[in-house]
Amino acid sequence: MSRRIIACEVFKPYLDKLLEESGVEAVDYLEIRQHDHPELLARSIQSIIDETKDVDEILLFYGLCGNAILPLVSKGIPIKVLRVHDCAAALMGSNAAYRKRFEGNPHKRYHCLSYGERDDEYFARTSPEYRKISEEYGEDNADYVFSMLYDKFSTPVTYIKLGLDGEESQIRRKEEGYYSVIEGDLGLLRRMLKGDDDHVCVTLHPHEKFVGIYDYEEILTTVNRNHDREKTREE
Amino acid sequence: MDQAFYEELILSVTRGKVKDVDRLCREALEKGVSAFKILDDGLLAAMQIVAERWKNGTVFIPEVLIAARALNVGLAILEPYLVLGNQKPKAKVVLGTVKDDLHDIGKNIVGLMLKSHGFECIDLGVDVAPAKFVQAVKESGAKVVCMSALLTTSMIHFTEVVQAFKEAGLRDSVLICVGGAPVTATFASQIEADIFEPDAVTFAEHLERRLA
Ligand code: B12
Repeated sequence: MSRRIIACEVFKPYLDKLLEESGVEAVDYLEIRQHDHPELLARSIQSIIDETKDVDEILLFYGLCGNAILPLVSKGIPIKVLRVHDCAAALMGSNAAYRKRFEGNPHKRYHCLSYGERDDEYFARTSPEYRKISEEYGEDNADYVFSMLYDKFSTPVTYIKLGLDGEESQIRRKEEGYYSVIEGDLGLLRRMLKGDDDHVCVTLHPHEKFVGIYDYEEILTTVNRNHDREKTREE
Repeated sequence: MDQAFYEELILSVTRGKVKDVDRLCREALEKGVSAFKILDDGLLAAMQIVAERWKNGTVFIPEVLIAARALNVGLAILEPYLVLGNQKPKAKVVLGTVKDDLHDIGKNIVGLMLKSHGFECIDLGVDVAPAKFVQAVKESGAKVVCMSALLTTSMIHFTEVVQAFKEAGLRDSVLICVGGAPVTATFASQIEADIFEPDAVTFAEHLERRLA
């Protein structure tokens, strides 16, 4: 079966590793920062979907991601999406594990190899982003933005460790107690790549649309796109 | 004040020029312009522009934060005059981001818009447990509860808050309002919320009409 893989860059180190095990395939990665704007993210993913031809399926390494994936449509090729809320659940290996960790836990922000790197770059006062905001809006505004996005949150951050090179040194770069480290699980990503378990993903066919369920089991589903139209006609 | 004045004020807010916002608001008040007019045609008009641009994806989080900060500076100057003009605040509103959720940029803008429309805001902050919403209503006598959620995993807690109000026998005496980027009208009606709006500006106007 031929396929195209589109993924958030947050998964890059893990997919690289898994694909090395199972035979290398090309992956189209989209920048993590695109998630800042769910509508724009959906548009970027859709444009890659639309230019895809001659494959049997598209594997999307995204979850519900703040509803970002809901507008996607399949114009012929089925699209498979991870059945998770977001990358944190995917890297913990299941929605149940995420729930256990997330609910009522004070460590509500997550880092992993890729996310940590990006945050270190993005949130440091020496970052190009900081400089850009300073130049455009003045230092006091840049400082305010960074304080609202980052400084105001007290540590620790949950660090999801998946046994990759570079994790230890990343953790050590932070002061003691910055991270609360947990073991992640690549099982979900591995099963998605193998394509052998329907519960790890949701498949979108032409004439269907995604619908969010907002629980910890189903997360999202698909319905017939004409469904709503028929309902309105009946009324 | 002429059109050029409002244009300058709007630009100062959207560009985060807090000193200019401060100066322009004071100048206008000194010249006898009503605080309500400065607010509507200057500060709120600016926020509307930023909200539009955010929706279209032409500006990002820094621009939203920068404008909100500048608006806050202007609002602090106008506030004493707005309170005087209003006789008494419109209604008390309890506001917070639900449990497990730390996102507060949108919630703070909702707070700013409510304040700008004369509501008295009791802001409980982020990661607010259901019991805390109920307690705040009991203590303040507020008739409106506003909940914000930015995560599809924390939206689930809206239901618990609605339930907590039912259990406290207070469900019918408060208007429950929900919002935040992932929240939809369908979801809001499923959990029996009273009001949903996709953005803070339309929400403040909606609430004003509802309580009129
Ligand atoms: C900024 C941001 C952060 C900042 C928050 C800073 C802060 N002080 O708030 C930081 C970096 C801390 C952060 C952390 C996380 N985030 Co975040 N974050 C965002 C981002 C990019 C923007 C949110 C925002 O501020 N929008 C701007 C404001 C103005 O818009 P708004 O909140 O929607 O509010 C408007 C309206 O909705 C409305 N409104 C808001 N509240 C209310 C209430 C009522 C009653 C009404 C009527 C209206 C209303 O009025 C506002 C103005 O018009 C979103 C993506 C997005 N665009 O939504 C992701 C996003 C919400 N985050 C996400 C994730 C995954 C996380 C983290 C888990 C990341 C991690 N690895 O740790 C953590 C979780 C922390 C936690 N437990 O809460 C995901 C959510 C996934 C999910 N499960 O649903 C998103 C959707 C990004 C994505 N696509 O993956 N995040």
